[in-house]
Amino acid sequence: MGESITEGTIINWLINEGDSFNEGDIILEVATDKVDNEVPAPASGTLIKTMFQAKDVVPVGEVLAILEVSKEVKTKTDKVEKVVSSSKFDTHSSEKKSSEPETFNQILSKKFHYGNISETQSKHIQLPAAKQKNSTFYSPLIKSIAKEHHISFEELARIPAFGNNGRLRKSDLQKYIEIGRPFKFVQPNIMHDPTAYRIPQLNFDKGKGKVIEMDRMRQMIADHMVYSKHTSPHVTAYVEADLTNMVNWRNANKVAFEKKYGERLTFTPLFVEAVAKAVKDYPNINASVDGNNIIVKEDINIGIATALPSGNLIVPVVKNADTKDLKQLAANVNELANKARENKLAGDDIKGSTFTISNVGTFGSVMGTPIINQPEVAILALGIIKKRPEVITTEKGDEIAIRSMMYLSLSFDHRVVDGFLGGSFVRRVADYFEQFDVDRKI
Amino acid sequence: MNKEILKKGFLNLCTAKSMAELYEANFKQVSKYVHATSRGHEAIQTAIGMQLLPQDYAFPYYRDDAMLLSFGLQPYDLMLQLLAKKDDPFSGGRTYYSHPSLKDDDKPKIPHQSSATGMQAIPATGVAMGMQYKELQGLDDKTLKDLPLVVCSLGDASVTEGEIAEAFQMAALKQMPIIFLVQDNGWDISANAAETRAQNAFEYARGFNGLEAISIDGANFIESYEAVEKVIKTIRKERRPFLIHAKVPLLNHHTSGVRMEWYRDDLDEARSRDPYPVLKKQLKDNGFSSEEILSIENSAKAKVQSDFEKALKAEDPKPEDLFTNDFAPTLITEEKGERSPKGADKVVMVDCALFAVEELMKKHKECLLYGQDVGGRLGGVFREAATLAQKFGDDRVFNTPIQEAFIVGSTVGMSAVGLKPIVEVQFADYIWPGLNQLFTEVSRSCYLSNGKWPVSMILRVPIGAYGSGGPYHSSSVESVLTNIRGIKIAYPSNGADLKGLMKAAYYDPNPVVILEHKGLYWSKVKGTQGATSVEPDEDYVLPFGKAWVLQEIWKQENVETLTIVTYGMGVHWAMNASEELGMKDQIEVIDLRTLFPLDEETIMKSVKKTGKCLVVTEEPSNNSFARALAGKIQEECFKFLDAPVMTIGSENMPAIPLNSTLEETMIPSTEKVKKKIENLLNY
Repeated sequence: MGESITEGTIINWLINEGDSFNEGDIILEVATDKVDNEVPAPASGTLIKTMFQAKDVVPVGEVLAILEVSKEVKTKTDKVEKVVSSSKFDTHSSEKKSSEPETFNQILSKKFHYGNISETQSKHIQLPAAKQKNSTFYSPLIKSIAKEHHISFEELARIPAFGNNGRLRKSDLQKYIEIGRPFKFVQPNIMHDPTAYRIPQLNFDKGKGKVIEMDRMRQMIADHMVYSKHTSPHVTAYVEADLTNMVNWRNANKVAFEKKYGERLTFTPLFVEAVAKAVKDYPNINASVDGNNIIVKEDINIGIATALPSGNLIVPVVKNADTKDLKQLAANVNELANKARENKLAGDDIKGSTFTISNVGTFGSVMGTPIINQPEVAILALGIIKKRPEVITTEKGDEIAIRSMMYLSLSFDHRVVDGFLGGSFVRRVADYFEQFDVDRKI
Repeated sequence: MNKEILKKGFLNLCTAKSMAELYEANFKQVSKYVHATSRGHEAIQTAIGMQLLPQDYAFPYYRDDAMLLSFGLQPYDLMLQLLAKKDDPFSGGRTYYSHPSLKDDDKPKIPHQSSATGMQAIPATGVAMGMQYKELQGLDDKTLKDLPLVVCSLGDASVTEGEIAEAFQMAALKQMPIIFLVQDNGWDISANAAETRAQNAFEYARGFNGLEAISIDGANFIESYEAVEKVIKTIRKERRPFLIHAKVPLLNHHTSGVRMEWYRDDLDEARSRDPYPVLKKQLKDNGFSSEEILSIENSAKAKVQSDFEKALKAEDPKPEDLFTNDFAPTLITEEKGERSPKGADKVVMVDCALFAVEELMKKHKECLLYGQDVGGRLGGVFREAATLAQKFGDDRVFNTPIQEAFIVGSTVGMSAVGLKPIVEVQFADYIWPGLNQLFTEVSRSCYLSNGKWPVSMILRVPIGAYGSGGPYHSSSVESVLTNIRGIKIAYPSNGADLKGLMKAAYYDPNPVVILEHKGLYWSKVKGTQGATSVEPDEDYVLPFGKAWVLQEIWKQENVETLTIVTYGMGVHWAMNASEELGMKDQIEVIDLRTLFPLDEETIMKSVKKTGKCLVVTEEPSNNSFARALAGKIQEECFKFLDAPVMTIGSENMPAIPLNSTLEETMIPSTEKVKKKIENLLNY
């Protein structure tokens, strides 16, 4: 997300016309080309009218909905009828009075604005805890400004403060108001949790090296990786697989396959096919964590970690991989690979994966410890296929043979995936690889 | 003796006596407010009062109700003050009984005087000095048949006080037309003569060459009248001072607050010297019948009784009457004239003052300058009066002895005769002996005379530290002055302001103190080049009470801003600090120019805009003007403040030490102000 944002897509309305809501309830979800946003209610009230439907693309600045805000926000007991009696709010009235709500577009544009500003202000927002934990003293001027702008003490406490001993100064508050009050609504209380993770004080020595500013995508990757490692306790299980049969079959059939279907036959669709099959056997690997709930996904969408020409990482998705035959999988994989090469992956191509494969063998790696693609719970790394002398058991007894071998490693989220499930799953994948039917028809 | 004089004298004595008796008879009713009566002193008071003319000036004292009656005031007039009534002709109920101030055409003039004993001697001498000045300059009223004189009434005990010596000294030295009338009743409340003095006033006067003294029986009307007549005749002709020592008995209480029966051991002896039977006998001896005498007495009693009943019914002052006549209105309310005329020279601050005074003296013969070392030989220790004596003569620009009390207090009298004195104490460190006069006489004259006697004077005070001046040539005293209500105080930071304020002060009918920082006089102290200005035009005036927003900034919400409120040297520290910090667009600097009246509107407006305020002073900060101002700003701007209003001043030590390291540690500087600014901006 950046200042280039000019429009957003309404994903869906979570509150319907005529329904009431409480402050902080999510009213709708809005997507932009990079980020999805939840728009929370600024106050309790009723949704009078929506101006756009789900899937509509709306330019920034348009009015999305008209709200009616109840004046007695907190009175929920025996005065329900009064709660509804409220001031009609016209979305175009320029100056808002004390209890009047903001229009969604105001909120939206502010959020966008904040997103924009927050990039440049990020240093402020991620201050070391000592500075962040400001004093709870507020000067008369701060109180006067807060009153004028309807800023609560709770909100004041969230504003980064730069006065002596972390006191909130006039200029701190004014800058906060100018960037659209990014902490207007309650934020995950990361900074205020004394046990929470904190960025240590790092003293970078730039030396004579060059400074490369991260592009937006790199920043998102970085954030995502940190978030994933920070959120999920990673455990990695390793297995070995004999891919001789698969390799032989593929070598024998790839020309015929391409002739018959017009699609190149790489190993990837073979891997996807086996993984999807194993996921079906162990559905709990195809899951997400939502607070105290484990969401086991119905669809099996296999993401394939891919390097873009820029060097950045992207994960195109083979949707419903378990329902596709080899021809469809090959076509799907090839299409995504082409799009990635040409930087043409669209929003839909990179959405919705439920399990991810990272083919580290491509770069010659023997094995890897991949980082989970959140909000999934496991990721599979495939090492290089390498011919090795192996002891195998034949009718003649033990023999040393030249076999095409691969190490598979599965990183899984130990919050919800234990060694038994993780180990069994990755062994099952390896088994499917090994037990490849050499007589399979194309 | 002329029978009319005797009759008039006797009536006056009887009236005063009846009043004292009536007050005693109605003690409960009349002693709500303290009073003293002339009982026992009536003969001498009547004798002198009857012989004064409307052009004369009198300083009657609190036991002189008989003298006031002899000027033609009615018992009713005095009783209005006794009862602190609204129509009290002297003060409108503001000050005690027999504390007169009067400007009636047909009576001697009575400037205001305080209730502090002996303090009227210097102002009275100032009047005599003013009369002499007017005669020398040809400003006196040529239509008068008789030249005017001054009567300063004193009790003998007050003659032991130091300021009396300054008054006698100057009256004798300059041969002024003044009578010091000393009524000697031998008592100083409960302390008698033996305990309080080595000699009486008559004997004391012998130490002052040129002050002729006589001693008389003040209880004997004829003797008193004739002695006074002779003295007055001599003074009107020969223009020289006299002291009349009049022995009198004190026959009533010292004041209504104490009872003489408790401590007096001489009451019988005193009563044997009562002037009443003496004068009664003198009337009989001069052919008055007993009936005539009785009829005079009865008419006095009846008049006193009926006036008392009338006075009791008079109106009391209203609460709103508190707020009038603290100052006389001034005409200078706007900045006028050319501040920076084209082609004018840049001059240092001390010369701006000098040129201002020179222009004033050229234009106004009423303008004169005196103080220590301002005369022709030196022209001021700072050359602040250089060449003035040569230009205007030694009568208009002259030295005084080291007498700060006289320098300050004499202006009350000078102003009373219509002159405009500019006086000087050499260093602020030496203002202390002058403070008594400034506080008790100068500052309260207008208010306690209910607007009749504002004192128009300028007191110039070189002030402040300017580099190793040490503990007695460096001090700042403005907080002491700002604690005196009834004076205006300027503290300019540059020459142009000083000139404009000096002019405004001259045309102001009220007392003005101008504090002139010695470190700015020549812009020799580092960083004070701003004190040197293009010299404003002759007609340039700068009104009091208008601060100067020397450095103005916009309201900025997203950066920290602050207002510096300061004056004098502080202005230079503030400007230098904001420049060196590169914060000229974050710091608004207000130069107060005058500490009273104080331009609160400009201050509060600025602080409400910037949200933070630093008050800079050179004084030790504790309990100072700056601290009080900071408190006031806090009170007024609380909701607009993002930090406490802070103050920076000198360290809170008793004196500014001589050693330069110690001095530097003691007083603020640009560096110290810079640190304080950063501290406040980061608060």
